Amino acid sequence: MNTYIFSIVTFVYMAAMVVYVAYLAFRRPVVARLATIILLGGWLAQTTAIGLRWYESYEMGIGHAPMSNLYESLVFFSWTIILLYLIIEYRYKLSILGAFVTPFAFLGMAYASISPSVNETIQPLVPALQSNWLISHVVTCFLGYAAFAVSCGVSITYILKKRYEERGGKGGLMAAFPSSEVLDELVYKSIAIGFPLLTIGIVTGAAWANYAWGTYWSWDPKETWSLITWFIYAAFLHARITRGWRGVKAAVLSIIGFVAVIFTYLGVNLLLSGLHSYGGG
Amino acid sequence: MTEAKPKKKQKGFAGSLAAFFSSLKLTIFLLITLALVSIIGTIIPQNQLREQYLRYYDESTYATLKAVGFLDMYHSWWFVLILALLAINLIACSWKHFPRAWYYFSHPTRILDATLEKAAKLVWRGTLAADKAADPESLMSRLEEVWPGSWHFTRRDGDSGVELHFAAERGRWSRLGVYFVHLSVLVIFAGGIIGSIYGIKGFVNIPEGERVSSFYTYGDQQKPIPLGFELECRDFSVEFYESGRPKEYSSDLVVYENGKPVVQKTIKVNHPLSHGGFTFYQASYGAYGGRVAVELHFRDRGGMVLPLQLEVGQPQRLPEDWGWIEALKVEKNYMRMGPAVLILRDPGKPGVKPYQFWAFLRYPEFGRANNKTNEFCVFKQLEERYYTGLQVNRDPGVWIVWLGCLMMILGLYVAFFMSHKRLWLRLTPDPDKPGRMLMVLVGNANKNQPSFAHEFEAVAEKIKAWK
Ligand code: HEM
Repeated sequence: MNTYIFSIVTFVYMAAMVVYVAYLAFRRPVVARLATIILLGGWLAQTTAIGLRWYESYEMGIGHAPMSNLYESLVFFSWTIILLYLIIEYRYKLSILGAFVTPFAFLGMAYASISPSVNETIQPLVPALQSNWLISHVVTCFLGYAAFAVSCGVSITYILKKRYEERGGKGGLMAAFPSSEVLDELVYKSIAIGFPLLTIGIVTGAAWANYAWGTYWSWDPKETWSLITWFIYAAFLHARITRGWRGVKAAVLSIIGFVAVIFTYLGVNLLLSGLHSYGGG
Repeated sequence: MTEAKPKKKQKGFAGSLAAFFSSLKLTIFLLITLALVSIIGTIIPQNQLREQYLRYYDESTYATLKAVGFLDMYHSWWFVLILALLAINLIACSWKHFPRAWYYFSHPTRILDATLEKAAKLVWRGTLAADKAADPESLMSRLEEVWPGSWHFTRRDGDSGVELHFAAERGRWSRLGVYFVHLSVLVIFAGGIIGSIYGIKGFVNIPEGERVSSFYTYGDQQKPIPLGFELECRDFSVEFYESGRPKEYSSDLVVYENGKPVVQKTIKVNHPLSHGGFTFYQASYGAYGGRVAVELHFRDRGGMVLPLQLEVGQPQRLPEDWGWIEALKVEKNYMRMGPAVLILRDPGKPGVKPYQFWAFLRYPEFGRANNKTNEFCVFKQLEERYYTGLQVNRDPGVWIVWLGCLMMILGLYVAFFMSHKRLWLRLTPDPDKPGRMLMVLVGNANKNQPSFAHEFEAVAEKIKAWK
């Protein structure tokens, strides 16, 4: 049942993405409104389905929060991206960013639903995952990742806008975007949200590892990649306050940071081996 | 508080060295370098045995990788050097910036002068009847109502007469949040170093029903390390899901001090036991001998049947002069025929050699068919025994690491989500209209300016209403 809703949500997100892109092109407030409504509808359906999946796992007698394998984490990741984006859109009235952020959520859901290597069934937890740390660790990591997804989307927009401004551009698609300063501020804001969350995610992961295996840090590939991501964003934060590193260079760092996030999340499991759970998909 | 310019440029080698080590450029370089080199260790498997490496690499590649430290790279001298440089960078940088930050922290600006006014982004101007300002104390309490904070009042002689200065601020200490984050990095490093010097990691296997008083470290020369107490494994159990995936491993452990039981705990994965500075984690398990029930059938002696309970590995003497029997080992699935026990039989008769044979749990008739001797053995029951594999750890640095992590999280919260907000209100006699005062309200926040701008407007609105 829940997987069925999730596949519908995938299409709803795709529709929202298309409408956001249409808004880029036509810039009619109605279009933006429509996009937001579609997105919110999809998100609410997804929230329901996550709750349902959680409930179903208890029905099956192997109850656990739906965050324990690749499928569930992809779904949760998309959910947090949309949640964060909706908050930002509401607070900053920036529907224009939708076209750059919704694709991440759509791709996450599409990958989860379509890829044959992603197992959709609810599976029991192996002993190492039976811990209260699981929820706090996963939730903080994914909220952080979602913030970084937003910052990546905005960074791309920032670079395009900055080029446009430097050409002294007028009119056209890019005119609709907020000024590069506003975008720069947004990149910073989302990383300022993501960085502490990633930090908490790494710390809860370390605490959990210490509790389960007696070592808070074992340089497991996944741990190491999360630290690599952390280093990159720390570099970003300092780049932003350094002459000669501000602006486009810092934005590029934030995009690289998100590439590292994706690698931490998916690449490590698909290409490298380690302690983390969704290795086998 | 962006990159502060040094007040006076230090000259010479020491000066440029100090400038190099305290620069933000070095920070960015080190952080990116750390990110890049860390990748190596996620691609090349770390800390494996030589034989394992030789499966992927040839001998000379292996030797090269080992020489440059790529096989244990997070402990290699050059990786530690980069971390050490980061620590030096952090200390040098704080050394340079902190005094200034502390100065501003401990010397709040209470006077709104021309420079401050000029630089301000949030300014509001108005006028007030002079008699309303006759009592600065009451004016201040009104200000406190408008914007709660620690208000300060200063009376000063200015160019156009007596100036009244009010100043207030909130979240001044949030400026120190960044330093708290930086300090936390050093604290975490310190915890890690203490752990690597004084910490110890090892393992111990305890068969069910037995006690140990020491454990072994990993590595080539495994030497026992005393625990200072005894640890008993009363019972070990493993449960499986229907799919065959493991569900739970657990061990009932009892700690004995001076021979008396003091602590009892069932440990599982994620639920360790801590005692005497050591922590014991459920890490592995295995089968360990066990007990078998067999029947010895004699073809002579009137077809007599002798039921026996044998401890694996312990010879047992039979009654009369019938010799000895021993269960040498148990196999779970010997020759794909299920559980089997290897029996050693010594008939105890001169000139008859001891002999060995397998008895199968699922094929009791197997032995009967064997007619070489005038007895045979039926395997009736297997009572397997497990040992529990525990990881043993002592890390006196771990609490320092957690302290550092806590500091970092709090510091990040303060640095990113709290801001230092300041308001100044200055009243000066209006040179054009006697009996009226000119008011200037100035606001400043180091973070989240848009939301402070709203706050500022609300304050200005209220002051305007004073008339
Ligand atoms: C892993 C190590 C480090 C971490 C996690 C870290 C973290 C931070 C954070 C979170 C901020 C706040 C950024 C912002 O408000 O936008 C910051 C600011 C800063 N960091 Fe670091 N930092 C590290 C290393 C260093 C080093 C080695 C230096 C030495 C040059 C340094 C110098 C600064 C400076 C000058 C600021 C600006 C402070 C201000 O706003 O007044 N940091 N750092």
